[in-house]
Amino acid sequence: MHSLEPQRHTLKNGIEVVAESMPGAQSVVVAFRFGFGARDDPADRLGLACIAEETLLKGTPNRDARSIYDAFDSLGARRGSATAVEFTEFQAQILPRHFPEGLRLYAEVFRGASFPDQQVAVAKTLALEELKRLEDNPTHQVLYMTYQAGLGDPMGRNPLGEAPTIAAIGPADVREFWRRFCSPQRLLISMAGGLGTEAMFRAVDEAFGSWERSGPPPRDPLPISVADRTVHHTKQSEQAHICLLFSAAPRGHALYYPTQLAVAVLSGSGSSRLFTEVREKRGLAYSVSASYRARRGGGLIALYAGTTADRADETLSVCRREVGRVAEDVTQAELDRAKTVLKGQLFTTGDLPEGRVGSMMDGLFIDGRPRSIQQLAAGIDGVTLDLIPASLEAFPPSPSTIVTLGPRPLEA
Amino acid sequence: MQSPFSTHTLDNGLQLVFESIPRINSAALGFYVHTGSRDEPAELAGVSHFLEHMCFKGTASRDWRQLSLDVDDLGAMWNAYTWWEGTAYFHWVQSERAGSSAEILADMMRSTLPQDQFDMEKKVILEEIAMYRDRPDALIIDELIQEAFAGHPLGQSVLGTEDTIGSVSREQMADYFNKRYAPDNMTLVITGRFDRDSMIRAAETHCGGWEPRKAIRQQVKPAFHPAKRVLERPNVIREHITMAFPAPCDSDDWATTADLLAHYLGAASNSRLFWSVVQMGLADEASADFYGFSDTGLFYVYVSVDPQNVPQVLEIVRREIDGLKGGVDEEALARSRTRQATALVVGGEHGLRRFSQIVGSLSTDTPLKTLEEELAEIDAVTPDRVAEYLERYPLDRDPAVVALGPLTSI
Repeated sequence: MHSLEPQRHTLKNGIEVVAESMPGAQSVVVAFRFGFGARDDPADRLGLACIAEETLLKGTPNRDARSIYDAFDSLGARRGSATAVEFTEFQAQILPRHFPEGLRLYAEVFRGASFPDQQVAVAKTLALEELKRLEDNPTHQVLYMTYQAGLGDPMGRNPLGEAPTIAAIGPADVREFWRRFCSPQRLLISMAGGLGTEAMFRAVDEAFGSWERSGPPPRDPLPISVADRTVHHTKQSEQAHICLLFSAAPRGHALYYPTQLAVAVLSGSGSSRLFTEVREKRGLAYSVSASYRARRGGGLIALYAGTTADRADETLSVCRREVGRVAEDVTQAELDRAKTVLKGQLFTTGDLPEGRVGSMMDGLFIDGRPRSIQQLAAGIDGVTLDLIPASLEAFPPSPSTIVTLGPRPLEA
Repeated sequence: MQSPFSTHTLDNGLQLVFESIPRINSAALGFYVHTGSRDEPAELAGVSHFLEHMCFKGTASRDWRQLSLDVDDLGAMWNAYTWWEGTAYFHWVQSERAGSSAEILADMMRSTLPQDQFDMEKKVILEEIAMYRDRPDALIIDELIQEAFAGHPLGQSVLGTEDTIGSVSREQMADYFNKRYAPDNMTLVITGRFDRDSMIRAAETHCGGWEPRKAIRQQVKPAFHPAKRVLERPNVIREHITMAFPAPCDSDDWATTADLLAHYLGAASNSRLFWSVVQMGLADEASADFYGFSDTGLFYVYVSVDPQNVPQVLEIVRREIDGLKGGVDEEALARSRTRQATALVVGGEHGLRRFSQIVGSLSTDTPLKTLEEELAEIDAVTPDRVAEYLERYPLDRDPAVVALGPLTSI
């Protein structure tokens, strides 16, 4: 077991780096997170950050799109990227021997992306296509609708943007956005896998050390508040898709771990309350879950259930009752079990390079503190029973936003 | 290098398969049952999947509640899945808990199928069927297989229908269960870090008393039907289209070539279809895949497209497929090999991914291969080999096509 603390390193240009060595691991995973995202889109250009992310690898002064894609593929790199409200992230899983070259390629595109006109036009078309595709996935669609209804603008934005604002984006907007926001001071790097931390840091220094500090420092987090509202969107779907959103303790708060355990009592295992009450005892839904979502300015809990329309009211009322009951009657045995489940996740999926990179990055980005598996386990172990109701008292599940997507609105 | 695999067979026929991954501190383990939707009589379509749910609902020593409490007390990540060829149940746990995990999994395999739970779970399955109707992209491959192998049990829905699920009785399920969940039709698969001897002892203790039944699969090779079916769904926004061609079975030497060719043609990034369809802004997805069954296979393309772009996209897909006959680009194929090889190496340290791979191979009677053997197979896929594949499994015949979306015809 790799018991070492995550190692930290800061470059002169402001890039903050965290790494953990996992001896024997066959790959290295790296994530680059820039502290800008959909919240930084101008109101009449919503979707801009997402277009920039999509187009980043599509050209530099020295390479065209295919040449960049071929270069990554020749290293066998498994790549991914995402735009969120508060950040833009790129990740790759690479064999250790190709790791330095992979970092050099990323440095080249971050610093030299040219966002060719034609590639921006394609990205816009694809963003519009993605928006339509979302309508064929109501489970995801209802979550975006809920963020929009509950958090408003800009924190509730769908990073994809909206059809008219995507249409308004021009290549010059994308170049200007990237020039303005992409700077080493806004970049965080998280790495884990089968290389020593010294070798990982050296590769970062070589690839990114010559990038000059520029641009403004990262923006402050925006506070989160959830609106008290109920919204229905009519769709002739088979099921009614229900989402409930409310505030929770932020990451880094003393009540963060109690909140994680409250969520684990509710959802995520076979004996959890939502699964038991909604699915096992009543057969109301196949899919029902609650999950914690951290933003820099606060935590959120989102609950989802999909059920046929005439059972929607009953499903929602059972869910709400269970949320309320967590503040009242969690037992010591339930708390202990929830701890075992959360630690079980830490030592399985959490023990893979990709799991460690994600966890360390969230810590670095949200509260400035990446944690080792042992530190996370100790945080879970330290929660006493009285802190469960305390966490819901300090961060009550109301006001809340309820969104339904389906054939008809709720009756009550 | 020493093989990471080993096996052991109990007197009643239960097979144990071990794969040791020394670096990791966890074990992924569970039962593979050699029974899936292709083993179902038509009137019981969906019973294997329904039965999978019922294995969580009560045994002689635990009711459903106790089962879920005991699993959670292990801190196990768990799930189960049913497909055309089989059913699998797994726990992913810290290594020292593998023995307790095996005991619970073994108990689950002797479900008492309680009637009240059977009635309740039926509602959950019907909700699951409804859920998939709202997810056309997740549904369409099942529809494609139904079309390509129509008239054969492989062409039955894994989930079943409202009719078959609605009418199946507990007695019918119990009969199927008794015949199929016999030790000589099951395998206990264990990957990761574990103590082999104590796992064998656990299997003997908890499974040694199970009666063999000589369960056999009626393995009739399915015939491929080129046909076209348009499922008109006015409320679906995109037109979802798949087309399939005959391909080798999973254990065939040509399976790796089929897989690489699908990757070359339609991987999510930097493939032929990626540049000629997706990056032309014509569809949000255009992908190719190979799926090997135990006695047949499919090479298929999937597109999700704005209805007005359908004719243009289908023409490009046709052109790209026809273009393969003129030879594949050597460098691009080499990049596909590198990417697939990396994926294999990376997957090799993921206990649960290895579990799923082993279960997949068991379901199609494909010998287990070491990483080195699999890498050598990938390395052997040259442009010449691809050309030979296309002679054997041509892609210029009539495909089986399923379209699902707003259009009435394509």
